[in-house]
Amino acid sequence: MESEHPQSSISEEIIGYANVNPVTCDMLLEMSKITRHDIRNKLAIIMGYQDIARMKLAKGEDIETYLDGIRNNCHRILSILDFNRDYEKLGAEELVPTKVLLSFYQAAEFLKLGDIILECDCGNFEVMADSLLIRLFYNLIDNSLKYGENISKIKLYNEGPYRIIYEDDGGGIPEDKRTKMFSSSLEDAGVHGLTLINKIIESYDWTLTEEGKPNVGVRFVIDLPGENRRR
Amino acid sequence: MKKILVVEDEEDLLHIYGTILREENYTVETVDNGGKALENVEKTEYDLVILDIKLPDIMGDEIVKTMRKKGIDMPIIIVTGYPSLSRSIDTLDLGIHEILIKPLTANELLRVTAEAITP
Repeated sequence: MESEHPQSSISEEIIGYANVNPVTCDMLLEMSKITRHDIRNKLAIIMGYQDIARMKLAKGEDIETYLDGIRNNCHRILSILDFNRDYEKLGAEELVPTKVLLSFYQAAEFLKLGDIILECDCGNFEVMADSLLIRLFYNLIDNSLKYGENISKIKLYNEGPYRIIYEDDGGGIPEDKRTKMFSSSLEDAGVHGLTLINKIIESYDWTLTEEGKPNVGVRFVIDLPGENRRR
Repeated sequence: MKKILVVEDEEDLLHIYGTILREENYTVETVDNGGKALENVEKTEYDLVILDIKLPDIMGDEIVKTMRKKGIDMPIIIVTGYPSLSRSIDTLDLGIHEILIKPLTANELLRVTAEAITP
């Protein structure tokens, strides 16, 4: 039977959650605050473009740009909501032996790669992970596609048993963005940047460093502790 | 023509506010961070500054405090996506004309702009 007071049952759930894991609860509350802010911003953009479209239409001017702006920002809201959903999953699933190669190609299936060559030299390499490993690779590939500037190749491989390398041959990460990239602040690192990647890496007890160079491409190095890797 | 400075780090919103205000024949300058905003208000006598509260380098209310300390007394409208933040800003003390909560309509922006500029 559904509660007559859904709001109070949600509060009880939050309080119960806080008792179990206050750190996770703080993370979720912070994320919730940022989500509300980001969605407000996107709605402000949608409403703004709608107002401008109305003004331009009254003058008989073309409004296609503004309609595109509305559509793009609706998609951004969906991305924010998807991100939020995945963020809530952090640490919730059991880590199981997972083939890196399969997760990498599953992630790529969700993206339009066009002529970009995708290479994975991980063979049967396995790590202890959950379904968010696919999300991790999705975000890395998605970032390469969005910000890589003329990339032709993305490559994933392992160096020995405790290291995974992700590389592309795009423009790399500019120095001015590098400082904020690994910020612990969700806002600084950006919802669509490396925030979720960082959180997934942290939840696996892995570490991530970026060793790429501007105009050469990105090179993300993921180091795994021995006990966290499938033996 | 009345001159307005819009300070907002979201590129689309900067474009939107600029377009709406220009349609009403205001002269609009736009900047995307607090540092540039402070440079501009020291150089140019604006009739109004429209300021986002959460900027990448300086919080909007800190910009207002700095402006007031320097004797820059042009009218200011604050825009924020954080409704809770608006309650913590002392609008009377800082001489802020109004705090607008995102999302806002073109009519709301134009109405408050006209009110703030009209002596």
